[in-house]
Amino acid sequence: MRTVKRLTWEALFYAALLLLLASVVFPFFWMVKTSIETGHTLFSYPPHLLPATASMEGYRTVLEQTPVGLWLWNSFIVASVSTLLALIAGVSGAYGLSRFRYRGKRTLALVILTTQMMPPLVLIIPIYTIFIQLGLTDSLFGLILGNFAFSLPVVIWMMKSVFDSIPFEIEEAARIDGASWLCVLTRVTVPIALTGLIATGIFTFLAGWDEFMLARTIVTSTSKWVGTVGLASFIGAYVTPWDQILAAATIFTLPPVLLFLAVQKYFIAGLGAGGVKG
Amino acid sequence: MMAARPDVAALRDFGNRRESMTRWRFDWSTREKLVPFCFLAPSFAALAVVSLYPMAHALFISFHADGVGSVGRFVGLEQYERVLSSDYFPRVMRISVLWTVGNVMFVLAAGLATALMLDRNFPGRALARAMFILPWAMPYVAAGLIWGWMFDYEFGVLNYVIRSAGLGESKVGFLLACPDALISLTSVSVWKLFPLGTVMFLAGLQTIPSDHYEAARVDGAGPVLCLWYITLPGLRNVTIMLTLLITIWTFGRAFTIIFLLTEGGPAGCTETIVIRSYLEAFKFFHLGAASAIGVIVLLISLAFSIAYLAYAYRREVSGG
Repeated sequence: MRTVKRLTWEALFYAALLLLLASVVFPFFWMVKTSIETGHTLFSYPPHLLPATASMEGYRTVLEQTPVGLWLWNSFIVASVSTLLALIAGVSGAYGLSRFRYRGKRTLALVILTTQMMPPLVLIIPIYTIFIQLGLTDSLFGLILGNFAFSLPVVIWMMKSVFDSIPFEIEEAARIDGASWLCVLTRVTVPIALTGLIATGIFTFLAGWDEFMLARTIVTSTSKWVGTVGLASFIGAYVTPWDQILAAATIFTLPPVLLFLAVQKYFIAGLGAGGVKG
Repeated sequence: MMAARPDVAALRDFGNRRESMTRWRFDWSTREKLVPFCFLAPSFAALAVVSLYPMAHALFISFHADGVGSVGRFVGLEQYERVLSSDYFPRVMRISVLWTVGNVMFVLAAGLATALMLDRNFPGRALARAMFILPWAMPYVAAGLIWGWMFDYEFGVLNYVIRSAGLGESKVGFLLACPDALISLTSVSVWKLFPLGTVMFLAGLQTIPSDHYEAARVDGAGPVLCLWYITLPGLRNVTIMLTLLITIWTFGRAFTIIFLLTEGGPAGCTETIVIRSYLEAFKFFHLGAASAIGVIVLLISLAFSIAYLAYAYRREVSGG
């Protein structure tokens, strides 16, 4: 009787798990499946749950007929340059917040956290008007600046928690041996904090890769579109070639998914610690 | 032999000269006190330029009439009055609240369910965990595209699934009818956000000591009682933090999914306060009203942020 109950329980568990997994992963599957189908099977109803035809036609057409490659390149430039700038400024700021004792430290930390929690909408309207005056609209540089603004507080905050977890004694020893503070940070602390630094960089990169609201607002010419704006432009087109759109979407999704799987462990550790420790 | 004796006066003189040659005319301890501010300077200078100044500029715009090219005359709180007394304001607030509450509820539920499943040992657990967290990695625009295709009225797969599962006879207009569109968008948003819940609940579960469960089992408690009396109270802190985080996130930030799939429609029933502000600014070019709405969103978000910080800080102090 006991084993029967136990087995039923196990069966229920696996059934629920598989059902949940299937519904979570289904959109990924459907995206790839649609992207490799061709015109006539695409719009059949009822739809084929497995691809009835398989070809790379959608990928080829979208890469040849639209500047998807250029948009992805622009996304890459914007996300990586803004991440790099935010890391350079943010690491030093995080070090200043994590290491020393001085008055007003808590207030400064609060200012940073407030800017981090600020809705991007509140920044985008003034950024738009300021950029018009400075002639920075419709340029990748403006986008880099905007994304830098969004990711800097995130970098400071994440790196502060990384530095907080590293014991101070090693740095003290280096300092006593005559290294300057800047030398301590670059030669001692950053190498110890390297994994945390890489994880932080990847998260800000992903945020820049995913940024849509600002890019849609300030960039108008198609040659300067980033991936998000380019993809969004497919919606509401006169005819909707779903195989091509989802081929582009698949290409666009691939880098973040791969990067994400690579740093999954840090993501879980970092967020988990943030959630439990506050 | 006499030369071996150091010339103290000359050395002191040399030292003084060196001291006066250094760029900073401060003694050592003052210099050490300045060190943290040197580290902070680049960050705060950058934040002042790219974040605090634009925020002040948003306030500035919201106190002025709309002008051509730049802002118009100073009007005080008139923009705020106009927004607050407009006929759209109660509607977009109501939709924002519904949207936020829906997101919080379902992210908590899905996060808890998946975390409880992943907390026990089974073959393929690491794979299952990676798969559950995958939606977090999909860019919002790509998520909007694939869900838009799945929601499609004529060829969408979801209508087919619902029909063949025997859940309904007539087709559902996922994004075309009124409460339906908000529900559809909420499900996409929850699909993207619940991994955050999974991860945080999973970390929270690991802080519950296993001897609590053992003691309960010895006393004859079944899994349901254990869940109710040990697991859920143990997750109280994580739940509060997660609720505040998701609230801040969905109330003040959620934009892409709604903008792409419905742009606030049909008939304005998915128009949250964020979407309204964006449309006021970049569709109707009412920058003053848009900024006023933005400041209102900021104040509400700030209230939740302060609650979050106060809670996190209290826990840090009490060590819990």
